[in-house]
Amino acid sequence: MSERPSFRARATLLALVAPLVIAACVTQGVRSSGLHRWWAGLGPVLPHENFPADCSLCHVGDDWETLRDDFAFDHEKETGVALEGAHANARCLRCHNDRGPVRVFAAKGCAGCHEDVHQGALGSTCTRCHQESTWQPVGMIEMHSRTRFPLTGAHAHTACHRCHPGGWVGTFQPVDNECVTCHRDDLQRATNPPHINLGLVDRCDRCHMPTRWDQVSVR
Amino acid sequence: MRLVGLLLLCALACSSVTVASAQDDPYRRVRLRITSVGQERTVVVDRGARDKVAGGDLVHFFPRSGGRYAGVVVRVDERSAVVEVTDPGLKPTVGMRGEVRIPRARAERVVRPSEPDPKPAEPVPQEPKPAEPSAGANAPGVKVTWENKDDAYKPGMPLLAGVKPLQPEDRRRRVTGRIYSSGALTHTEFDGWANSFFRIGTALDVDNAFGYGGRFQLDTEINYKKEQNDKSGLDILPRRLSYALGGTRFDEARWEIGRFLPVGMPEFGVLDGVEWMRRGERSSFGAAIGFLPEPTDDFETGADFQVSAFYQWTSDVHEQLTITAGLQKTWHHGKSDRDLIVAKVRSIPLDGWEMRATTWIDVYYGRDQLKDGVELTQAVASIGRRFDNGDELDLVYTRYRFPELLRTAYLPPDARDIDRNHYDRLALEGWFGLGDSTRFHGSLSGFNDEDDAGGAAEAGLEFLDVFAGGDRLDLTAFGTLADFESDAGGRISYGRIGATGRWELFYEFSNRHQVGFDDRLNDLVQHRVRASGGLSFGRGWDGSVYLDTVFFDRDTSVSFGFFLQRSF
Repeated sequence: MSERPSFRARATLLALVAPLVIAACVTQGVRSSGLHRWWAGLGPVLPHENFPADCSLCHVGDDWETLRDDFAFDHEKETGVALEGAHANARCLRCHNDRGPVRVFAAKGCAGCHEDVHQGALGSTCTRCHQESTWQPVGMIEMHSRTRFPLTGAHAHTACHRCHPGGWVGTFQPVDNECVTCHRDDLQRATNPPHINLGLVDRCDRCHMPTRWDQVSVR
Repeated sequence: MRLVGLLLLCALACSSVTVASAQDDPYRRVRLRITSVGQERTVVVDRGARDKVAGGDLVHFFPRSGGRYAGVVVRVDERSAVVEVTDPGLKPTVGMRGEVRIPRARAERVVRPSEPDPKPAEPVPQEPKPAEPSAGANAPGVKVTWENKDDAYKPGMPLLAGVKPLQPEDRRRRVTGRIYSSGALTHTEFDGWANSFFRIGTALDVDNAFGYGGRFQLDTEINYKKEQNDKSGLDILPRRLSYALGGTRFDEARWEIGRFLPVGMPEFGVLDGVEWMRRGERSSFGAAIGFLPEPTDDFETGADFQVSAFYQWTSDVHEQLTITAGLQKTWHHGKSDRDLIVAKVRSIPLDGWEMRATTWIDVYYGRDQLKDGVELTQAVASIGRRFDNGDELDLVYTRYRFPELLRTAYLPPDARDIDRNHYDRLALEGWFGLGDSTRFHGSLSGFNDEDDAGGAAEAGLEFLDVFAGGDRLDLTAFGTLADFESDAGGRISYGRIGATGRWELFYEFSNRHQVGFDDRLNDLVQHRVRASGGLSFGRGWDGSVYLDTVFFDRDTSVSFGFFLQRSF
């Protein structure tokens, strides 16, 4: 390889960056006063124009931030949007807050409010793994059956991070599915026969079952 | 008879104007129709100021195909009004029905004949006119008489005075978050193999933490793992410790400092550093600088430094189409490492369509050992259609190649893997209703990697309210052609979801045909049984448990886990 950066790579990078910078300069105005039509002058976080006139239906005393203990709001009836699962118990300000109108964020799906700890790598349909009643993922073993590596035997009960190290912090990346990728320690410990000395360092499936190391079929 | 007919006619006329509602309903709902469709998601409706419609009133439209879509009145004329359709899912057409909600206090001002004219009283000619304002009118000793009679106000009417918006720094400090604990214990009969983990963690979110209107977030865990290798032990995992300022309707610029996942481009990974971004009406852009923690069980940091920037273009205020591109440059222990471009497109057009695509593109220079030029390292793209009746269809494409990195991020692949490995997968998934309580679900996928090609198929039926309200029975058949085996089997699950709890029983049977073995060993029958349940205890407490057993070959594996959380 040449030590100098290749001309083609640099030209490609420049071709990708230049339109980006030009687009940024052209489309960005001096000041976007209509920031998502959520102007600072609009009043409370939730526009109150259509609310009943009696403030005491919801508020307590002279403190606008505190709602009555018996405050209740039928979100589906009043807005046409049902709050499912844990959303039904969430504080209003978790969604209705200063960052912008909630309908814009709701249109983005889960990612409109929830941080994507998977960093975009698992797509946008969170409901494949998560539910609204609890964010704990379910059905992972069944879902793994759709991949090129179904989880057989003890693999079904192996912690995800053993094969996907980033899984501990939410970043699941595919791994090479050769046995030795995850079983390197087992390979180094194998002394009867001495696998490494004999060059038996890959294609474990030629001898071993996926369920146990001692079940061998020699051909 | 004439009288009765007249009364019926009057009742019919009244019912066409107002929707019947309970007397305690604070709103009067007035029916309307769309008379024309304008640009910029606006429509004109046949109700106006004479019907007591006012700017800001909430409108709901009811298309023939079903559903309920929202809009807001933005301009009012005497007999018509302009409504902005805020719900991106609606395609408005002339003649479409709808209704506008008018606060009863306002609406009844015209209904009650005894109520005085809400307009300000006309000046009476014979009364002396108020003195013209002059410089001396406010002088000390001069009596000023307030003559603007508040004759239009009645108790129960909305206050007309403007409300000063509460700034973030004016708000009370508010602490929300959760504490949680989870654990799992797995044991297999073979060789006494076992592993377990236990974790306890907290996620805190403090609004206006230091009086400047910012947001302080802390998310950390203590983990204990016990495994059959040297990775057992105790770890502290500081997932997040950050302070963010701005990014609200009062401030278009946003800063965040600490350990956090960048808002502008989370694809670049968790950052120990600073991010700045600015959000405009049609675009956003920003930059970040700092260290990238390694995505392992203790988030070690300090080895990888990065600078990055992004730009996002938005088609309109509803963000129906956004295009984002970002650049990231990293150094590993001071040595140039990764040049990454991430490009994203998200489109949410009308009629339930949705399209998203994210690509990770690596640019390699001559100094890289294995690769050169530009390579599409990773991609996730999907196009989906959601129907009004709940049916859904998704087509998803994913691609992954190992990037050539100095960074220690994942299980380190060898040079051959980096050079030749790839994984491409295309999947079609769908859910279709077959009646009020039956639903079909299925998926069909295919993959191609450096060694093989294969695929998987699944088809199932979901029955709701089978034996009791809220229960669910699911029957699914599946088959897989994988790299080392081909599987076929079925699953049955039955469970119930209630207001405060849920439970499920699950059984799976499969035959796993191993590739490359003789006839005595190549078929493994595997059974899986699982029981799980969850409960909300109230006052923010909820928890769940599961017991999962796999019977395979001549061995059994058992896994038990729990999760307990208190939200506040």
